[in-house]
Amino acid sequence: MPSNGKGLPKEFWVGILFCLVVVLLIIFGWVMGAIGPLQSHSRFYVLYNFAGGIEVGSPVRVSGVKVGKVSKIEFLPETAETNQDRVTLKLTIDVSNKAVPSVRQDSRFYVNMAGIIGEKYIEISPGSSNSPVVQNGAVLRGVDPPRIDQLLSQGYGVFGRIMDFMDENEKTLTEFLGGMKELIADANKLLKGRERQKLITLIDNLNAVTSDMHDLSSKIKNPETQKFYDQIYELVDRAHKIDKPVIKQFLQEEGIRARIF
Amino acid sequence: MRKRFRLRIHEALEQMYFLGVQSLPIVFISLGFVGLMMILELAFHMRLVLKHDALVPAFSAVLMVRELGPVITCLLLTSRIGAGIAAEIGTMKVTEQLDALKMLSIDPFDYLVVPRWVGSVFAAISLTVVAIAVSLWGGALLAIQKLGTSSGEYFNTVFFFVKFPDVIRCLLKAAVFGTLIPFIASYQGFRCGTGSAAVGEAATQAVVRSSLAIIVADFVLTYLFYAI
Repeated sequence: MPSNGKGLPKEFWVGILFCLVVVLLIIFGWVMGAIGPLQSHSRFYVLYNFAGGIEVGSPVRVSGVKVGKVSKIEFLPETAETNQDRVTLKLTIDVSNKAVPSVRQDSRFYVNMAGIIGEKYIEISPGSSNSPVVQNGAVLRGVDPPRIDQLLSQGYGVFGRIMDFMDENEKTLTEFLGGMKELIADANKLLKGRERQKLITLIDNLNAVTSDMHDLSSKIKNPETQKFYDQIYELVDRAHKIDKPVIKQFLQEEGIRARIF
Repeated sequence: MRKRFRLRIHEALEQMYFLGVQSLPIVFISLGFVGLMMILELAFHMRLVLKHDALVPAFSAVLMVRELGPVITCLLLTSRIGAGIAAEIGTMKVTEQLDALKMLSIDPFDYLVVPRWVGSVFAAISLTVVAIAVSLWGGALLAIQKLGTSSGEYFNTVFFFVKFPDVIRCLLKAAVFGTLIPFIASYQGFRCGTGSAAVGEAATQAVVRSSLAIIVADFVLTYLFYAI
């Protein structure tokens, strides 16, 4: 048997190196999530219209703790629908059984972003305690992340229309702005010039008139004033009924002869 | 008619020991320091550009697994064994030992090249795995001391970016490089001229051409794995 000269055969050292490599590969596979013979997990299917950058291998977190990963992403046929809305993506996620009791029927599946370069992950919000626990193999609807690209695109559209409007009405807008500028300059002159005192007096008078009107309005709303007005109204109403035949009848009853025009 | 390919277990084990086990210290020390250097250098660059060094462990690990791990390991292996293989076979040719093998009905390819090829592939893969582990743990020690990262944070960041398929591709690269080294070195040995100067020239050419082949093959494999 070949020896390295120190008593131990070369096969022993080759075997040691081989075992070391195998152990290191198992450790790598374990910590990178490729293998996990002692870790049991449940599998859920989450439907989205827009995955927002999620990839196979992206982490799945419950309450911020990593509990699994996205193991598969499938495109669904256009006819696939869940409840009311049409979905296009089915994400297969594996979640550790330790975290499954926190995943309820009313849990929400968000696509979140972490870190300074924005690595994406699925965040599962724990559901309410009175909601049933999600079973292995369940199909759930995820919360679509906001389409930043669409928002930007719409923003560009609106901005483009504003620019078009400004281009088409450049002359009018220039005139309008020129007029506004002149108006402001005139108002500024007025406020700073000799007419300033007159304006102040005018404003003071307006204040006084407004105050008087306020007092008058308060008095009118007074109950006694209201009673006085009611009496005048009644008097006017009764006077309105005194026409020519009524006066003639009254005078005849009193024995007075008079000519009424 | 050429006889069937034959693996000589004893010679292969000898080469595994010589190429793999005996190369372990040089790879251990070299890649350990490469890991340390990468942490320092990437921290400098990221602070310069991003004003932030949280992703230094991730970037150094990705670079190590995808590129530097197999390439530096196999370049070290080339410098250590490429010249040796070419010189050994070249000397055998100059001293007509190759002819003697043929007279004994021993195929020089089976006897000299195949065991070295098996040993080289074993050494390249094994040493690459060890190199990655050493550089990651070395980098972790420095990152914890120098960057103030916790060990959990370091490995969490590293293994968020480094995926197991990257490790598999890294091992495939190592296997290809491990194949190139003995074949190029043996070729240089077999076509060695006469005289001691020719043996030296063959050894030099073996190292130069193996190194070039490794760098070119690395580009091709990276393109095939990641760019297509």
